[in-house]
Amino acid sequence: MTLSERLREAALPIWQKMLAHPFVTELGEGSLPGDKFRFYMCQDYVFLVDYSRVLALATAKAPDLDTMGRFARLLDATLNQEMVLHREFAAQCGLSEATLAATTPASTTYAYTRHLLAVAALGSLPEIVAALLPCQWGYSEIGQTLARRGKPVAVPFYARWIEMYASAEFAALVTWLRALLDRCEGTVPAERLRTIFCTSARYEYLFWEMAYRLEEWPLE
Amino acid sequence: MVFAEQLLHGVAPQWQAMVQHPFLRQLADGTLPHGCFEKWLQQDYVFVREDLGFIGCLVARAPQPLRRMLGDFLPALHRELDLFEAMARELGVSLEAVEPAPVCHAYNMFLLATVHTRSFAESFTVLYGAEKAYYDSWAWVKTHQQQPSPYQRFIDHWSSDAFAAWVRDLGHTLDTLAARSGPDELARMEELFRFVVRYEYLFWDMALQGSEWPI
Repeated sequence: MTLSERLREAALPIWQKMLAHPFVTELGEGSLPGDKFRFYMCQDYVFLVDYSRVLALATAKAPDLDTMGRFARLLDATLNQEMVLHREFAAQCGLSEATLAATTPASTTYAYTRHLLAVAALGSLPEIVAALLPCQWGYSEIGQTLARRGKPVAVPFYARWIEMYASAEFAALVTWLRALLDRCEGTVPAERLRTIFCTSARYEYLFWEMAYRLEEWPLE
Repeated sequence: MVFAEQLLHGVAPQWQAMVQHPFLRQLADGTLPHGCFEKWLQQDYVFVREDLGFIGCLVARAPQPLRRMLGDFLPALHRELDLFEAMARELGVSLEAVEPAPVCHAYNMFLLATVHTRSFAESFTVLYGAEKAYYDSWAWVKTHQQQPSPYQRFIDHWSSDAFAAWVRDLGHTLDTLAARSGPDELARMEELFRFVVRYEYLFWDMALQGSEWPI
């Protein structure tokens, strides 16, 4: 087993619950209530802002020009393309750019992005990749699983969302990140990478849970 | 303390709820269920250990005149860790292999993410908030306790005059920093302060509700 396969194996109980979360299955069936999807869109938008910062830190810490270039392209694609698409997509769901921008991060979104930023600021590149991977890999698997089950034609937003993450392009990104991490085997204690990977996997599960429950901070 | 007071004023109801959290009320009236203080002790130990990293980064980012003040806080944190270890021995609580509770992990990562991605003044705001929350919470317990507590050393430590003076100094320094900040930065400082109150409240909550991850 490669390093990335072992990390996924270590997180397997969490991973399976993530794939089977009601938000995910109802999205695939088209039965997910619209308010939950809109809540998710707003939280995902603020997530992407900090995710871009993490990609910038990965670019800065990459050991060679080729890896720097790949992360720089990914940063550009996220910040200047994916976020533009996100705004257009959100507008079709009835969410204005102002609503997206004014979103207060829910406690799970905030905890997840603080975890990613802290690992990216303090850690080395393999640690950053281990922190990022559950998001990319999880979304790719979810997209492909839901696409195989048949897209919800009655809800075009959901079908488009699934298409985006089921794409070969998205899968190629996961393959590249995994290969990058596998090449770093031995440079960082495996236990450290396992903790980081499993923490991100936990937050992936909790992110669906947060959107499904329309999570709020206490005292507000 | 113009800006520091303004921060507190902006979160007054939440601050009140935090200072009089059921954990602290029960600590003051001696009704805290067995095991709650012990759970808090374990998690706060883990928190302070990680906090050393936050303070270290803050020292590195501090303007020269503030380095010494912040640097002196590191040995103070070492003494706090000693206090935790002594208390844990007395209570028979293990501090080995404690997994950080979700709120402990989130709070520590919040501090580290802030000091690396926000301005120095914004990061300092978070330090002030955390220290002020501690002083106000423990001082509330001290003035409301009905009888001596088995955890008296902790109550006395964070409600002491020395700790009050440190928090007051932080407030004055924050005011000086805020006087040089523009309106956008001041707004971000207020926003970060709100997150501090949320985490402080949730940290007490964890000691009563549980420290397990939901997954």
